[in-house]
Amino acid sequence: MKIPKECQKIKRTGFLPLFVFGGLFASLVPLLNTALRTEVFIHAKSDPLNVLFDANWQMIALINVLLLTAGACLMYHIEYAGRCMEKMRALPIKESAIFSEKCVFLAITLLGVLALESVSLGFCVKHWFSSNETTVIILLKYLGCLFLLMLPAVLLALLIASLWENMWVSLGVGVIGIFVATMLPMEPSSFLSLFPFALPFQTPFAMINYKTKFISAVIIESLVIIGAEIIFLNVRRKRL
Amino acid sequence: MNMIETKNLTKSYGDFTAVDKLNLHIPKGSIYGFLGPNGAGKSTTMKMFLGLIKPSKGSFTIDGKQYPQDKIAILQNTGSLIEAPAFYGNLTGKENLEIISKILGLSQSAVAEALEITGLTPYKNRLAKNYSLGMKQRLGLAGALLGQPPLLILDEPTNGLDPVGIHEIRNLIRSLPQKFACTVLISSHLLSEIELTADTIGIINHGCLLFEGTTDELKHTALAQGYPTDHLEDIFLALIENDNEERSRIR
Ligand SMILES: Nc1ncnc2c1ncn2[C@@H]1O[C@H](COP(=O)(O)OP(=O)(O)OP(=O)(O)O)[C@@H](O)[C@H]1O
Ligand SMILES: [Mg+2]
Repeated sequence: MKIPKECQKIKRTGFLPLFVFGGLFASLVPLLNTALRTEVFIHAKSDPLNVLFDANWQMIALINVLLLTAGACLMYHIEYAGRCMEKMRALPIKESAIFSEKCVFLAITLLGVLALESVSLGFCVKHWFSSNETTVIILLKYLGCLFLLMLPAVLLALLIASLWENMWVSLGVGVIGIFVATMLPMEPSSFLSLFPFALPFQTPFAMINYKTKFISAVIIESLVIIGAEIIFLNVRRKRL
Repeated sequence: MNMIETKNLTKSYGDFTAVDKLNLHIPKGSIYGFLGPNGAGKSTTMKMFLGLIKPSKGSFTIDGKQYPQDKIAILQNTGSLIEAPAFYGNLTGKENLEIISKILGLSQSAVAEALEITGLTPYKNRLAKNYSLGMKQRLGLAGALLGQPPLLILDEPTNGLDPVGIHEIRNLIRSLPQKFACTVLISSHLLSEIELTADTIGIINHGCLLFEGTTDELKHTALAQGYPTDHLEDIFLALIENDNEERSRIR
């Protein structure tokens, strides 16, 4: 099997350890939380997963967005640091293709992280709750929801990372974006919750209750961000 | 038949003209030495061929292909090394070449070949950031040679090499047209550096082409204009000096 270019490029940058440890750390959150507050959780009236998401998802989502922002910055840092982007421009590959390859790679990496977190949530249900309603199918469906909610943030983080050749500027802007997102109202009914960095904080329940709203937001935001990247690349090329 | 032909190729930055109405003719299958002092516009011209910067005026064709319509096709068939070589410092020399070979759609053996040709095989598993200056230069050259492209654009490829290395790389470049049937455009500050390698030379100063032709033709031109002809280097220097004088007189 051929290793994808993006996967090979980020070797030895600490990218994979970052995501593995970040994912494990985020997966520990519901485990510790449930272990410490078992009584409160299992006596709650609603569905176990609902309880678990309400109690843990804000924290897990914050870790996820921080991970994807740092990951995006790293992925572009290696291109800009050794003037590799210039070498790439002299090769038969479009910069927009490099962007889309990075998007796919980062999205798949995050899917892995989300899967790890879903396994942890599933384990909590199995271990502490006596509910048979939570099946693998439901977990997979929720994983799909979480993945969709994450996509605009992945694209935006990579757009920000591609804008500045200095990684620290991109990282700073990304972190400010995350802070803004955490300060916005999180109710799924509010319009501000659609900010790309705020979307990953939504739970699958919110997404299912407001299906049209969130799905159209994900699609529109993704298209807008991709369009912005294409315009940016064109403008930058014209200025050369 | 010309591999590269430019027509009044011009690049200006504001009111400064880096490359001025250049008309180059680079014959297919030859080694073309592109000579000029610092800031003459050599790198700027080569960057235009690769689509790294946009010409302000004029046009060029590479192997009959037009820029910008056929940019990807041009790049597919051109190996390049512009200014200091660029690479991923976190990857080994071999991994760096693998990335480029993937983009070019080449087989695994191309990487080993390029490493062998540039003498990097013993160091292929060392991180590129730990390479010495000369090894970095060789890695850049290996990247350009990958897949034996029909056109090679090399900007001062012997920069930072030791005398033995310079000799080695010079012989390597000298052998390329016969081995791979390719055309080589190579830039330098020193005529002595490329007079043994190049079939044709072009001399550029302040963005203007002063001379284009073989070394013999250069000698004839020099004789006709009353320059010293014992050493080619002197002719080159006299040409540049003369041009600089004329420029200051106009101003
Ligand atoms: N982006 C830019 N903005 C303004 N001027 C530029 C820019 N890039 C290059 N120049 C100018 O264009 C001129 C030609 O530069 P170029 O790099 O082509 O020279 P060169 O012949 O390669 O010189 P050297 O032998 O030192 O490499 C120089 O005076 C340089 O300062
Ligand atoms: Mg130069």
